[in-house]
Amino acid sequence: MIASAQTLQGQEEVAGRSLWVDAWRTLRKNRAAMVSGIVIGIMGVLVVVGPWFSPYNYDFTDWSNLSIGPSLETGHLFGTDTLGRDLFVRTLYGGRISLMVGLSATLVSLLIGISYGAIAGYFGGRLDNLMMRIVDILYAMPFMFFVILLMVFFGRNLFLIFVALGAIIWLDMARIVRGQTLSLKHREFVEAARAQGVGTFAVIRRHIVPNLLGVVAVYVTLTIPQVILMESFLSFLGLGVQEPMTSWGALVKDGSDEMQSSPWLLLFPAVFLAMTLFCFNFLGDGMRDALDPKDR
Amino acid sequence: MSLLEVRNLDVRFDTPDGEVHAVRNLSLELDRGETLGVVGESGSGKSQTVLSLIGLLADNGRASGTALFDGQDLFNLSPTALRSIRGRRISMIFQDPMTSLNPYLTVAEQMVQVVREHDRTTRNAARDRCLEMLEAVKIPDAAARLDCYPHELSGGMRQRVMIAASLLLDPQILVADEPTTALDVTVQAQILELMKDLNRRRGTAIILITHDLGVIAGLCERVLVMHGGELKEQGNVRDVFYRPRHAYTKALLKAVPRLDAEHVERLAPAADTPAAHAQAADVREAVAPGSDAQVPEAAAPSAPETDSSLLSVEGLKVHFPVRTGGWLGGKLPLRAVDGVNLDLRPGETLGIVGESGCGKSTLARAILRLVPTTAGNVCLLGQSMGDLDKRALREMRRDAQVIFQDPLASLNPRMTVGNIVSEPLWTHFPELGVNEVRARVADVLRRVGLTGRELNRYPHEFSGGQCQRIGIARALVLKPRVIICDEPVSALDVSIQAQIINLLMDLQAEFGLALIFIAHDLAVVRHISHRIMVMYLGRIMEVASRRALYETPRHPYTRALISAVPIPDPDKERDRDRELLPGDLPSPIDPPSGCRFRTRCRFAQERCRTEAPQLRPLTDSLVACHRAGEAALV
Repeated sequence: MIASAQTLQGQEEVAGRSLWVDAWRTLRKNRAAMVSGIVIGIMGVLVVVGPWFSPYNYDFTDWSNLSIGPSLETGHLFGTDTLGRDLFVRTLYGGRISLMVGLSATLVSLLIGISYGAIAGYFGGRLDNLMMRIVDILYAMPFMFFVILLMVFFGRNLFLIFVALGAIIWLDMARIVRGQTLSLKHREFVEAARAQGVGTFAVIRRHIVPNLLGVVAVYVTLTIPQVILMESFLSFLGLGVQEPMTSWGALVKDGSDEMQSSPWLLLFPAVFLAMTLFCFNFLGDGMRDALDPKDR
Repeated sequence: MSLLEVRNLDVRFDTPDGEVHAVRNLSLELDRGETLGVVGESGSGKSQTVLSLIGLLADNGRASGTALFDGQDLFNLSPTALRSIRGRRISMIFQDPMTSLNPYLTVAEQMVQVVREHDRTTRNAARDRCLEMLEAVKIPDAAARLDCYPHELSGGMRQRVMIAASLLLDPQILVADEPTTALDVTVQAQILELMKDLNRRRGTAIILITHDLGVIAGLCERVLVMHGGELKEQGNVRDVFYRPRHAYTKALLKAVPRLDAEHVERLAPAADTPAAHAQAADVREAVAPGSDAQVPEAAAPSAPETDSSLLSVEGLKVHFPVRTGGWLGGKLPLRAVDGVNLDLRPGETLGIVGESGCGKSTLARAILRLVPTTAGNVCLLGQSMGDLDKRALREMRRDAQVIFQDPLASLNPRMTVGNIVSEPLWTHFPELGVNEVRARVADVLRRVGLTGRELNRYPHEFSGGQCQRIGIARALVLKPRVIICDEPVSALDVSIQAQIINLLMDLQAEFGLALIFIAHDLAVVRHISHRIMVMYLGRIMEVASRRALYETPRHPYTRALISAVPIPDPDKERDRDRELLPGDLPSPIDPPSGCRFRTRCRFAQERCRTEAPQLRPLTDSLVACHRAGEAALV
């Protein structure tokens, strides 16, 4: 810190510094986070683009190659399952679903959770009471019941899974953010801003939310894996994705049934899933550090 | 042979930024039953010196040299042997009595644990010893206190418990690291009196670490002055105070505002200022030595004689509802501010003093409309703030700004200094262009003694004094008429404190600012204020000009407060006739009937119990006391 303070004095920067520019600069120095980010990026590109280059479709049954191990000559890079479907393509398709579920549910939880929690915490009093009781009521609704209800009314459909997961996940975020906001709003810099006449929403935007980011970044990295796992649980119960479409969770489950006869069915999707979760964790750690100006 | 003899002590810390040399080549001696004061500003290595002796350095710290305690070298002892010395023969009390007591254990449990760790006695015998010790530190109703949890005790009482616990095993040395810094002056006086008494009766040697020269003057026989990890001067307390040899000691003595001396126009800040971590801080503070060189002649206190009042407060009450009796219980009002009138003229400084919990800060927040008021009215520039709508209130805020106590906490850690100081401009002058804002911000930063090039840096890169300057710049950028300063210097070292006070006085002279200066340090308030208001439990006890208040205090509470302030002068300090204020502040939820102060007042009568005194004029002052002016009180 001392060294950085001195260099700063030395070079006398003229360009403005913003939270995000600075965070990016720090993040770039964190090798684990950068590698993780790149891996996640590659994974993202792969699951989108990969299937286009494969000769097989995810529901195509190759009758001549049922349950074979990974091999180059047949073109089944990861082998096939008991129905002769190409595992490579299925893993990528599964990745599409899993990542999409994870990211979209997390995005929903970020948007709703942060604004809801920050508003409830900052205004406090009756509004806070009302808003948090609504959260409590939603919490009390059994998740499975909620999902089954949705399925009954609207039929099985992937979009509903996003809605259901998003609706559940933001509750935690709202509670965490509210708690943090409660402790932040009596800090002196918030009072100073109010004394200057800064408007309520500007206070929340400039003073409350940026100071929540550290906690939020960590929580997001816990949320993404949690959502991916929840989705696979739903799929396991037959409420999630439907055959022949698949997700990482579903693939892992199927693979574990055939673990003894065809271990690759478990191995490949599990490695993809685990690697993604790992990378999100490292990236989240890195983001938390990068967003904390004290560590620079 | 002396009890403790330290030779060539060096303490180093390995940090990610390289090695920090916290203590350099320090030697000291302590005789049996002696009281030794160690004085220095933060980062001077005074605490690390003592922590190294009892083996409590942080993991990345290393100590070298020799430390002979009763013939044994403390640095060569096994951990077990050291543990038996620590606690039994050398014991320590810390600054914050709340954090050094375990909140989950009762007083008795914590103390018994200490006894039984070192002595094999029965639980009951140990408990008896604890009770005896609590009585020795004069805790009222000691037997009942044994089964209290720490949060049920007041700050002063907790510090007494800490002292009692540290004396349980009859140690030869009691090390007190800033034992009274977190306490009010009145309670500080009680604790110091107690330590003096213990030293006399039990012959316990005391090492007192503090930044407060007044405390040293009253208690210690010998003094060590430390700065930047080095011993600058040591000697008999009278020699050091009356004939300081080292330049740093002289500067330190001059930087403190004193209650006993003639009023001086300016404080002399110690030239090179140590702050947080020895090395770095010097560099940083040196960048901004402040505007202390060029002194505007006769800048300050000659209160301007204008009748028009800038700010007036009438019958202001702030009550917070406090839940009692759990979930379905009723709500009782906590009367934080209970009927306060004041007015402030342009260019004037009104000081507000009182113990913590007397409602000073709440009053400041209520004036600024940061907390809702229960009753009463605040008029700024002739306009009542009560009937303003949101927009008009925002306009008014331009004229009344605030500076807070904790310099770092009052700056948003996620914003750059430039943005922090620009924010008021964005809010009130959204039409200003980027360059205009930047120019104004750089200008105001230069005005408060910074370079104006700090725009792109974050608050944590600055020292406490610099952060406070940034806070002042933020308050000043809108060119307000009134600034309310809520303990602006109490978190700062004395030399930096002097710089900030000088800065505030310069700015007042330059811009004709009116200041409300809230502090618990009576010497500082005396230095800066034209008029002073004394508060107790949400009410005004006395209002008077600076001179009248300190020369002829009328209210018994004012007198007790003034008498509790330690004076950095050994002879005067020891000869003083102290009016020790007994006990603690009563709860503002259930204040005493009649006069609020009567439970701690020596002069209380029947009338004080039934009838609340109103503020009435008495020669130069306004006093709220039935008996003020009577011969018995003088």
